[in-house]
Amino acid sequence: MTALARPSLLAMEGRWLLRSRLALAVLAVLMGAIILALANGRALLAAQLASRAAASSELAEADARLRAGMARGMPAADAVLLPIRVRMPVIAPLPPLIDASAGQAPLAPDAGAAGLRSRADTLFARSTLENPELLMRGGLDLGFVVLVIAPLLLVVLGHGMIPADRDSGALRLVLAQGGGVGRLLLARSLPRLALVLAPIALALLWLGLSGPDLPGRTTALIWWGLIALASLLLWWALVLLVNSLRSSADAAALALVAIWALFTLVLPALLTALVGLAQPLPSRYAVIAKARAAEVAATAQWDNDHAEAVSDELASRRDALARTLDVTGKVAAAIAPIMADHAARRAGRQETLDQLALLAPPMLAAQALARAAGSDAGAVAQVQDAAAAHVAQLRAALARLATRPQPMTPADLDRLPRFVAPAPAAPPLGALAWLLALASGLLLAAVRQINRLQPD
Amino acid sequence: MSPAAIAASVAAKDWAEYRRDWRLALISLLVALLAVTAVVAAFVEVTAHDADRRATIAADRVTWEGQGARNPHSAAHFAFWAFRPLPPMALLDPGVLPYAGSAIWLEAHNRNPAQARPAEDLAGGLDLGRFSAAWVFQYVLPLLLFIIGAGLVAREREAGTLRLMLASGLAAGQVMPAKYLALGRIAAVLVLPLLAAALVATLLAGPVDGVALLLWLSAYLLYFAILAALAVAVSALCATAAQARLLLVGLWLVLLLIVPRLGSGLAMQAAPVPTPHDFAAGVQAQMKSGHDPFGKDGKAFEAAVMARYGVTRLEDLPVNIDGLRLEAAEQHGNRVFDAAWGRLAATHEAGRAALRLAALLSPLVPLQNLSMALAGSDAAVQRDFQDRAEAHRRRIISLLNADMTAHAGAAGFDYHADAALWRRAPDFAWQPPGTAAALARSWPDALALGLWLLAALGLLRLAGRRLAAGQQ
Repeated sequence: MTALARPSLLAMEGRWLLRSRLALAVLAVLMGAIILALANGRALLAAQLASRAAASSELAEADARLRAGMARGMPAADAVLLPIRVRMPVIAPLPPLIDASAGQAPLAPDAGAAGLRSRADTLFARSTLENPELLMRGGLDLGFVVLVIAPLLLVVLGHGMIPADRDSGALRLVLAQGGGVGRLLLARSLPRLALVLAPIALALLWLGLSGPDLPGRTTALIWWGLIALASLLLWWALVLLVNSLRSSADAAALALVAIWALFTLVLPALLTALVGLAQPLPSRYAVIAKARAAEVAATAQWDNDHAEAVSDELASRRDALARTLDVTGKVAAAIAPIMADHAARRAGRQETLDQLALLAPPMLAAQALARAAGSDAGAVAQVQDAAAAHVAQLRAALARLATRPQPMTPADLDRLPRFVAPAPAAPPLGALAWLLALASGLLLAAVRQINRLQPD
Repeated sequence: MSPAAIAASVAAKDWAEYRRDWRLALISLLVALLAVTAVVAAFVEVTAHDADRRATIAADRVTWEGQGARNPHSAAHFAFWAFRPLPPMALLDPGVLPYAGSAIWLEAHNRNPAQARPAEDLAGGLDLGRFSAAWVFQYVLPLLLFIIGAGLVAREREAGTLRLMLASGLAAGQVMPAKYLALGRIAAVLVLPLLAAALVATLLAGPVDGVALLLWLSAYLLYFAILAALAVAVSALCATAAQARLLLVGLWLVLLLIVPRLGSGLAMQAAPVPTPHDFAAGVQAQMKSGHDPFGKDGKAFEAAVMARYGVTRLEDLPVNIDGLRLEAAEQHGNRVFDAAWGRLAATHEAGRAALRLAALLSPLVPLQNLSMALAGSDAAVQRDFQDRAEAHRRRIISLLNADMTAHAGAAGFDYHADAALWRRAPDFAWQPPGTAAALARSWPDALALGLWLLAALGLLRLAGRRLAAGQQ
């Protein structure tokens, strides 16, 4: 067989694949899953945009009302309460590729309003109305297609590339026509890989062309695509390695499915559970109990929470405001150590899991895809930490305004600190490198094994 | 040899082959270890949660009773927290509980959503379900059953032993029951020790309703019976074991991983939940537009109260009017909350109904519904917890308002109650609805599972007929 014959072998394999009912079934499942994933992603994106827009518009209206009140002018006894009425938006940045990998986003709070009485632990407390029954079932996004469905489809397409011919006794004949195991595997690999990779690439292209113009979306798409490609190449390298062993098609299928189940289904769940047991987080209830005890202790002399209802006299309202500041300050101080401990332990646990994910490439790829999409647990934690810091900063600024003799003005409102979203995390370069290294290692092992392989 | 004896010897042969295949034995051992780990992890989680909850309730009670003398309405603003206990059977199936809030702040003027969802604290990763005994039974064991079952008939055909079997007196129609029995025996050996470990751990975690436990086990037996029938039927319909294995893995992927997620996605779109801001804004708008005894309706309210007590001046009232105002405002708020939360519950219920359509395409959906309901960890139980907590909030706030009404007199908001009043406020106590309620809401799921079993047995019978027709 000459070099000129190579394209014809490839074309022949491609034609054979397109005529195969199995390949058509694989394509149908993949396309169906991708269409559903894109529809789900679009719905999630729309819901997240709507939620942020609703919060933004509500707070903008409140801000406008406040400014209008200031412009009209008000009695000093009312003006003194202005700092308590300020509500500043804390809107989490929309993950740029949430419609590809939802990650933690469906569970993460997207918007809150910070003010003088806000607390870091309750800032987002109202954002838990979702149907838990549907959350429990999980979602089907493009990440799920790449991590769970596509590898199994690669196994279905590739498990018998050599073993099936060996089982039927046709391997010697096929190799005589194909010119060697390596070239045969290459000719059989390319159409099969294309069958799985092309629809995913098209889906990504569609996301790029149709998606909203979000900052960082193009970069996210590139990184997401690279991680997906590396992850699928790793699976294909494994398929090639198993093909290079002297096993039957049945044994190859069993081995590949078992490996898939171990690394995709079992290890991620097991490692997450074990890390949770080994590094438990401080109880959320402890934060509640501590905050409550501090609040009750600090309010022994407090009449009620309505500073405006205490009295309509300026002095009484100033006193009530001072007591409010005292209470919020004491509660914040009481819960700060628990919150800090919680954040530190959460980060430590995530770090352990990131390291353990090196043992389970699909888990590593899942984290990397979510990170590229901006929807990973780390991004959510960063936003919450930034929101907590903003609440403290805003409270301090409002406290200064509340305790000075002059009433608050629109210029004061303009000078108040705004919530600044944390910078996006660095791209998942380490994960990409690890996935590529593993894929290369498996591929080299497969090539070595293939070179030794002789038809029976 | 009678056909029954031949069928028994076929089952014995398959059992022996299963034991001799070290790969399957190894996979089975790993699955067993996985299930035991899941049970241990769940046991630690359930017991730790309960200890944490009890400690927090005790600390909260000390804070409440030790708050000193203060106005009852001031106390109403700090009021109580309601913490949801985990039912012992959540150790088997945590259901929706990781995704639902477990603590609710019970305060005056507001009905707050449950917060502290355990899933929010989960480290990120590949989320294919919460690690638990139910997860192993729902996802991992079916995959193992499919892998083992794939070769039961197809391998006999490939090896030519199927002809031999038929020649030795076993009718083609009897092969399928014999193989089904064989897979059933293997499945029993795999599942029963794991179930026993899970049950012991559950019983250690707390008192369990024996009927619920038996029904829970029955639901899983039904599920495994469906999957085993599908596995044997596909094995008989496929030409080779490899084909059967891949088809079954594909079925597993579609039935257990894709369809439930597809159903969930469609349900979210069919019954969209309002955004938190829209929900809160709607409640606030209703609150402001209704009866306001402190503001626009103040004068009319005072007149009505004075008329009720037969006096013409507020000073002559035998009760404190601010206490009455607070209670009237609370009653108005309660009506608003009932309407808003009722609509939210209806939206969740519509989502559940839409999701149930997926039960036609996957036996996992009805199994999960049934399993969670019997374990006391489904959405209905969560809703009951939230509703009971709200009823408790209303009781406590009414108690405090009544005290202010009766004792504040002219002092009004300067009146201070003492620890005697705080002690009269009971802790939140909640018992999840029982097994009868679980069955009442889950009968469509039980019916769906029954229909799935009939369909799977029908497929098995069809495969048997094709085998008989082919006489291979």
